[in-house]
Amino acid sequence: MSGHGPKLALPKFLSFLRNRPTKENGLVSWLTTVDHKRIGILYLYTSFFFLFVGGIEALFVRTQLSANDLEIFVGSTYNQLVTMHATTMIFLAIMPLAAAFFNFMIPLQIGARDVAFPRLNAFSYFMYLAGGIVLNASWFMGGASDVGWFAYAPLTSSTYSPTHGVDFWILGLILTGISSTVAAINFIVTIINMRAPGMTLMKMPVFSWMAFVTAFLLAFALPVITIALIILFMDRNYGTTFFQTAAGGDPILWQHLFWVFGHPEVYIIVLPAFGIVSEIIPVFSKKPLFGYKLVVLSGAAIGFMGFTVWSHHMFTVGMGPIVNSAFSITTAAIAIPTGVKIFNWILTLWNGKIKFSVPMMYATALVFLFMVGGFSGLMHGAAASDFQQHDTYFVVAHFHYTILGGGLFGFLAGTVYWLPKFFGKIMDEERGRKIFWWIFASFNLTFFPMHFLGTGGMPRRIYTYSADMEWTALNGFITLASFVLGITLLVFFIEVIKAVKSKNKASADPWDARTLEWSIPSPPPVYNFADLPKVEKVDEFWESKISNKPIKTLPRDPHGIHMPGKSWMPLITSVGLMLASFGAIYQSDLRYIGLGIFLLAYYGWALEGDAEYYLPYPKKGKK
Amino acid sequence: MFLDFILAPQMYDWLDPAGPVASDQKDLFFFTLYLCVGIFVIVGGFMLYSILKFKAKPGDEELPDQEHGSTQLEVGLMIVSGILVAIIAVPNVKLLYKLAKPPRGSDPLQINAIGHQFWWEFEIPEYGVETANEFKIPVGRPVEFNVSSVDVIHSFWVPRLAGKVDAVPGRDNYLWFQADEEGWYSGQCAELCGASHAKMKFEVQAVNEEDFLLWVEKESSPARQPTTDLAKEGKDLFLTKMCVTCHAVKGYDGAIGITGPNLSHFGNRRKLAGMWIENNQENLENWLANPAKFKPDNIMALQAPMYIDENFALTKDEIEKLAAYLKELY
Repeated sequence: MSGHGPKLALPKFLSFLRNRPTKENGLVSWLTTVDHKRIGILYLYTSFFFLFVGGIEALFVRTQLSANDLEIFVGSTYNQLVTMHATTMIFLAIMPLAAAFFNFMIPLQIGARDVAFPRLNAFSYFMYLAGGIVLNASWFMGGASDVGWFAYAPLTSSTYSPTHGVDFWILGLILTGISSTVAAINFIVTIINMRAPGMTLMKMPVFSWMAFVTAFLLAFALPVITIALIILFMDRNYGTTFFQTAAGGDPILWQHLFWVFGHPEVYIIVLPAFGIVSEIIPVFSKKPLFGYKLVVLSGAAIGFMGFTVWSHHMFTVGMGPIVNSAFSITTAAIAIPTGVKIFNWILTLWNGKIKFSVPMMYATALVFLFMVGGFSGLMHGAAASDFQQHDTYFVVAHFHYTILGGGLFGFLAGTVYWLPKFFGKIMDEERGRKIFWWIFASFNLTFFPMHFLGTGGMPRRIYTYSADMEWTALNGFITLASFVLGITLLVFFIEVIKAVKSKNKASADPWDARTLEWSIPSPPPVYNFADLPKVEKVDEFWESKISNKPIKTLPRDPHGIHMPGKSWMPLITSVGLMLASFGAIYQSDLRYIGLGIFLLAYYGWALEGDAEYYLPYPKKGKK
Repeated sequence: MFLDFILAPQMYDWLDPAGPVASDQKDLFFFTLYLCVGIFVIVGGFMLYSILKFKAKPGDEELPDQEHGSTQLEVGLMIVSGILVAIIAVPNVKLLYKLAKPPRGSDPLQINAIGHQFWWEFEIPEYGVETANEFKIPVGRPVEFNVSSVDVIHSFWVPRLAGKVDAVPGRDNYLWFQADEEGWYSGQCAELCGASHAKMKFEVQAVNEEDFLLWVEKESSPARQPTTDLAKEGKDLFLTKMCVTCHAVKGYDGAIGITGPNLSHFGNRRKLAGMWIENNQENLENWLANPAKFKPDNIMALQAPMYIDENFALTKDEIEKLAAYLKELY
């Protein structure tokens, strides 16, 4: 593959399809980048942005609930806020936050120069952005979806949801679904093929392992929801009746399809965070991870078992005691591999010399918070009593403890921990600690009282309540706490940006860490590893530090450092699909234009000229 | 504040059960809760202890023992967690089967509960009762519900009497409960069903057998004719303003609509607008003047001619007459 392939015969104004971009700086360089590190940074900033949007939606919801009988966000408006809060947080904030770390860290952790398919990686990012734009465009084009994030049929049908909100939601999620599926395949291929020589799977860092498991979950779970969304779109727009009772369809089919995706989704969110915690706890305890193999295996087991429990979201659907018992038991069984992880984290702390830097504070907090969410999950798993808890604020408390306590806290830990690698800067320790305590306290003050609202019988997703239900005082308190949480999270992200802009240069290995990404400079050069490492042990970098022997490396390539070429095509294909989505929502000709752009860029992708290039090696000994 | 909240009995408080089903569910809830809190205290305590005990001392640069794990310890911990999971599974599965049907030998009353956007229809076929949002049951006798829906998915839930079951279109779901004490029990829809999901409450009154039979007799008989002039004029409006396309009134020819609640004995109901306001003349007039204010996107506000077409809009005078008439339906 060296530039002698067939050249496209193209009119002059389309010649950019043939000549690949080479700009190194400025906006164009970001739009055409294929560097996994830059894509990771794009994911990071975009997910911060959507976290902010989802947070604002959450605070609007809390404002409406702050006292009884308020009429600020009423009826459908409230339901739109609730739906978009969940959708934004899950699909546009938390999952992409994990993707940011996957992108940036997997190649560095496994000793690779990039991911397997660099252009596809850029495509994943732009598809995610396109999905985010389509989802949020609905706010300005007739209203967002108001049917809840799990969108139970037949409320989603064109009879009960006649506006385009649900269509925007469907197409936005299909776009982000394509993004995640493609990214998952990319990570799987990268991890299987591009590990440094000697790094067998059982010597791979735990974070990369959890990314590996997560990628499989994505690859198997997302097609299910994508298909469900497509047939829902057909029900709404082309007269099919998959979910329409009157025509012989079954609304419960949607619930099965949704939750077969929806439950693995929970592990898609928490496993990457578990991976981050499994990196941080050993580093700050100065000990290897206790029971590395079992931590890895339990992660894989959680992944498998995550596909066997979906109907615990449907205990009240009327499936009967046999099915409910079966799903109760599979649900409770997940506690076993999850317990393994928690025990191993604690046993890693045991006998260690623990240093409480900011990442470690978030990591240990995650263990506590996830335990709270895990135990309330175990209680939900007992179907016979879950008939009471189901769809109350008890479950709202539960999933915020798992997704925020078990997910977001891990990503906050990761943000602080890997900030030196991302940007070559380090966060202010003193302020970082203060912010941690504010976040930790306000998180618990916001979500713990929700358990009591749940036992007091307050259902989720109601836009108001009356004084005689006696939910006013607690709701007022929760709203107050939620605003503190929102503000402190904002302060956290401002602090991150301040650190990035600051002059607090980080060394290559500021935490005295264990894995390969810390063996190269902060931030890493564009080619990551000048000399590709040879791996002999788990925690190769740590072992080389304590034995005082440098990591062995591969001989250098006489051509230089092989680099992938930049491309416009990922951006243009994504824009094409985004326009096609808008066209599909309004059944307008825009869909053909969008598909045309997509196809053109797709061909361009296949046939655009070769642009791989070689960089000269830096001098030996100088990193 | 939390303690007050937990201890004070509330209308939807399922930890304050008033019947055998909710009571068993509460016991299982507390069983799993205590077990979980117990494990949390042990594991969390162990973790807290490790954090405090093994904090690095400043200046101590020596590496701790680099141990990699212990298979025996881990397998042991897995077995212990497996046993704990089984301890929860046994009473849970037992209770699932126990609550699947009322005790043998009991004589349950059959009621159909049908979800609509955004109100509940209740039928007691045995006595020919058809009503909405409020109904009575005999105390101390199991009641079996056949739960379904005419539109979207709702969920039928009376927290102090039993857990919930979904009302799914095209499906007949089953639930039973029994009230052990006389009194009013509040229920609500627990599955997002549209804009006014929050306003889809209902109430059950458990009464003694005698009062129950009196109530069913009244509910199953034809509606009373209006007595005052105001109400008589209201009745004419009710028939001419097309209210009858959606609402049924027993004993009136033509008033057999099934889209909206059956109004045969509307005057008997305590509350209005999804149990949100007292059923009195003033509230009723407000409701008739602007139903969307109380229940956003309800079908009457969206579809009835008087609310969407200015030519049919109700005057203040007409509203007063209609309200007077409806109040006399008992």
